[in-house]
Amino acid sequence: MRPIRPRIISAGAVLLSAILLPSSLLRGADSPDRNISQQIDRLIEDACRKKGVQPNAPASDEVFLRRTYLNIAGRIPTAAEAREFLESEAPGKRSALIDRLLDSPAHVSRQFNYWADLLRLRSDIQGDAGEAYADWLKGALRENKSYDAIVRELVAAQGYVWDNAAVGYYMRDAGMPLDNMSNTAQVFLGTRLVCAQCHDHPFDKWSQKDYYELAAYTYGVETRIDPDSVVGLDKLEERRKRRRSYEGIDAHLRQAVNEVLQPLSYGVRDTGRTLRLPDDYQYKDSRPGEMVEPDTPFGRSARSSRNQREAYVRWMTAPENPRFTLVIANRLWKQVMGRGLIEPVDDLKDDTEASNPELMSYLTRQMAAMQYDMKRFLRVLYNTRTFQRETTAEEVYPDQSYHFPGPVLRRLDAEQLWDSVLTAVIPSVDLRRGKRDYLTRQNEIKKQAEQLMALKPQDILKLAEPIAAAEREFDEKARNIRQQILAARESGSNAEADRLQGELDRADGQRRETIERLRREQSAQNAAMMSRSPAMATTSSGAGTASPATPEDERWQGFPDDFVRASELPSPAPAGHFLHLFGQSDREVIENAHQDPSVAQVLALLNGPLSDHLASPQAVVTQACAAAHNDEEREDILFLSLLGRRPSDDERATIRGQVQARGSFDKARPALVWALLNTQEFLFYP
Amino acid sequence: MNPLLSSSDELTRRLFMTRAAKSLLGVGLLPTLAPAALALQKPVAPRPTARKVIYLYMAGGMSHLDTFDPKPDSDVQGPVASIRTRADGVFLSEHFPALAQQMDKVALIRSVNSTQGAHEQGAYYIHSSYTMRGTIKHPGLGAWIEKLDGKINRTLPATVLIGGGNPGSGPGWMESHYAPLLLSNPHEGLRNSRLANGVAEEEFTNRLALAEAFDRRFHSRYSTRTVQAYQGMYHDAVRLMKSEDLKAFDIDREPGECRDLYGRNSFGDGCLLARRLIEHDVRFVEVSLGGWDTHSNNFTSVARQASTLDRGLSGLLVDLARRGLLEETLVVVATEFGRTPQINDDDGRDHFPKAFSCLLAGGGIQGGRAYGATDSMGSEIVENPVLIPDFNATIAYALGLPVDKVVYSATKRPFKVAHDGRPVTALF
Repeated sequence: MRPIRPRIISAGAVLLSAILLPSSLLRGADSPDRNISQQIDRLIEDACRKKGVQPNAPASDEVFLRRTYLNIAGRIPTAAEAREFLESEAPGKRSALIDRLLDSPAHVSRQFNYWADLLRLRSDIQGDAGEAYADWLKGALRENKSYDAIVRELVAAQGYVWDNAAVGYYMRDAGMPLDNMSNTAQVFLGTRLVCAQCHDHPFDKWSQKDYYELAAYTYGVETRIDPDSVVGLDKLEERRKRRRSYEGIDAHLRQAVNEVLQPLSYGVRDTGRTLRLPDDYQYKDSRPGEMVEPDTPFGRSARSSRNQREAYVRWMTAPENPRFTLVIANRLWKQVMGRGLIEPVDDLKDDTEASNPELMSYLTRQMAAMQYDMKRFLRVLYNTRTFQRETTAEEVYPDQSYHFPGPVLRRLDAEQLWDSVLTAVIPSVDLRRGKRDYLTRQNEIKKQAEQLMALKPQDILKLAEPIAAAEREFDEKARNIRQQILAARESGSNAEADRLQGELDRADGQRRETIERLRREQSAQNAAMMSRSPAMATTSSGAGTASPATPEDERWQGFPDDFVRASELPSPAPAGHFLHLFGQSDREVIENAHQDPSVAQVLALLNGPLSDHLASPQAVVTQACAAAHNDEEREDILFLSLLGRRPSDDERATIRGQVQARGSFDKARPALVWALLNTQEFLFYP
Repeated sequence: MNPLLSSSDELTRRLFMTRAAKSLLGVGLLPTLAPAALALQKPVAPRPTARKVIYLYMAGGMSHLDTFDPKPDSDVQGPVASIRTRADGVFLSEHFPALAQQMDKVALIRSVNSTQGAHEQGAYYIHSSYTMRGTIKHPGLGAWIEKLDGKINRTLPATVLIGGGNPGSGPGWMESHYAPLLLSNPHEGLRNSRLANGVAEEEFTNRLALAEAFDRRFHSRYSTRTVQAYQGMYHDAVRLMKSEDLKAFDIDREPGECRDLYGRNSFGDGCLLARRLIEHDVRFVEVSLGGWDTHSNNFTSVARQASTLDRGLSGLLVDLARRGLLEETLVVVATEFGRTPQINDDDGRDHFPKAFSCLLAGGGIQGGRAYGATDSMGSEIVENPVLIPDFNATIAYALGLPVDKVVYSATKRPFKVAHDGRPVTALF
């Protein structure tokens, strides 16, 4: 078999993106997008008028600044960034800030966190597929790949991890094809089918049959490629069996072959596997165990005799699909305003109505008209008066209808919180990268895989034979030692048994070393054989080598290695990590992040190490204080660094009281920083 | 359901039953018939025999043959001998000399059956009673106890996991405040509960006042429920820092004799910490002991792990009993699956979910016996099979939790504390 490669799904999509205007042409006060923002405001203000709700007052520059940074860049501004914006008198400085942040690496980080929660993205998928997948997603966001293209590439993904890391979408749910389908429907179509997996949906119209028909499209997706078939070993075995001359590969050789071929298993491809109704199927329309033909539950039918997955993806991402476009428009609205026009965002039913139906349908049309350009869509929303109003001061309850007199009050999510604290500690925090050891490993595996693919089945067996021999030799030795151990235990000489056990462990170590050495030698031999091998790419698709910054950069010397933005850390962060504590999703189920309080969070802020880092001499905020000319400027820097505003007169008096009591500003600084970190003004953003 | 009944007060329950009987039968009309009528009435909720749980989890899959279900006369046993215990006719493997002396308190269950043969899936199943799914997360027993029956100590969390969280032991789909407290190391205590270095108490108070002053402006404008919740959390945290209950986390307060009793290793210290937490009315404490995944060198590894378990578990039983805590505390030993009777080429045993052993003690369990049995090879259940949900329903039953009560997730899916398990009432 030839190496499998990702297929170009739809020539139309490529054409569409080719004729997209460069987004810079669409900016500025006179752009057509300005009209869209204004139309959104009109629809909101009309609705407010009808419901007798007064739109909130316009937000101050300070409030706008912190909100916009947190929303778009996923962190608060530094004191310098805050000053630059607040002191600027340029007309249109708000739009300019929105543009700059949307194009910054910080925005990629922020959006990555959002999608990682939605896609339940884990770093620890086998074959390093998780990290590659994360880098693929960051790459797609960095180049502002259109939303429909992202979905197509994920749902249609196939190939080896290093050729197409989007296969992580399926490898994430290895062995759970039905769950994967339920999640696909929930994330991209806002539809919860999961109840119908076991019985007709109790609160919706979906039958179990609907569920199985939709699942049939992707049931044949193999999340671990069977390497025997890639190198033709399966055919060889069959032939041998037919000739009856074949006595079967012995267990050692079989195991050795599996080890040798492992690099060829890390990927996704379609098999012809068909789906059958479960044995306990209880409805009259079909029989248990009956084969299921793929079909769609709503919208246009999408049957295809040739490529089911392609038909499935085309149906899902078509602008005519009644839910696909609406879902992303509503999700991004929620990301900007803190609440969806439809809540919950992923439980659509036929009778679901948005709190502002005209606006929902207008946004849906705009999303399609913008050809799913998420950045452009966000830019339009951020430029509305609605986003730039004060937040509603009262609690907005989940079951209450909300007409958007302004955005809603939000707690910083776990990633925003972590990234914000780091902003005041680590210089150029957006550029600091996490570890990417996997790239070296993956390149090595890719090289091995390519070598193996060029070999004939007989050669594979020949390759495996020395390894099998080493295994065989060890086994004989081990059997011998084990008998001695048993005898020793029976005669009560435990010390002797323990000594023999040690010998056995050493022999096992030797076995592993031998096999490792044999594999390296083979790899080298193959490489020499394959002079036609193409030059190795240094990274997988989308893996960013674009940033020149490396963790060794002297800017970051002396800071802990793992003081990088949340998007650069393993996903999810381990239990007990600050991110975990403050509600980062554990990536088990869709949108599992939370902003609920806990005592452990508060203890971490009160007594944990972060306030020490904030007060350390090399922290960004400390350095800024050191460079300031006088204490008044230092007062500004502390408040700007953590709250994005200057202190009030009362607050200045409080600070001065502390400075006086402690002898100098520098002596008071740790307590002041600690206190600011422990305010709810820091924890929330209006 | 009537909260009086689920709140586990026996006196209240009896009172209620008497009143119910009186109103049904007419007061004192037929006094001689009353007891019989009472007996006919099925209790709405089971009678709780335990208030708290100490759950010892053997991560990796504990070999049943080499621990609680030895087969001395079989080829599959390998070199491990069996020993007599204080329970007539109940034998343990030779690795449990201390537990053998406590067998009067213990009911072995030798007929546990799981359907999950991989670690994560198996651990998830026995912790949550549900199989792992990609679309929902199920809560563990601790969260269920708090959901159905509340906390006893309001300052401390209802559930504490020592030695790391296991799959299926979290809050699942329940609200995040049902999340257990994780203690990775029994010596570490409650993280961040002490003043940071260099911050004296006076300074801490001063800083708190400073934070409050800086927050005045924000609070005057925004006092939503979520903001208030954080204000409340600050009060709780500061109260906890000053609380007597914090001592519960400090095993260094135990006399050396007591430390010795538990074996002075990480697991034993975890068991000791569990006892301290139970004394402070934490409802569910789980202590994990790993190292049971013995695909190779089974006999050496099991001997080592079993001796750790033997010390820790028997120390715990002795200590709970002498403090009068064993009656209200259910002690559980559980694992995701057993291991194959066949010994493999690496002198190991592989995963075996079909038949394995767990253990219950205290908390109203009738000790001194083995419930259920496997065949002469330890490979088939031949008596009283206990499915994973049944095992958990038994724990729930001991706590007086309503096993049939359906609770809905935010996504409107129905769940029960032990899924569709039925309690093994014969154990009480």
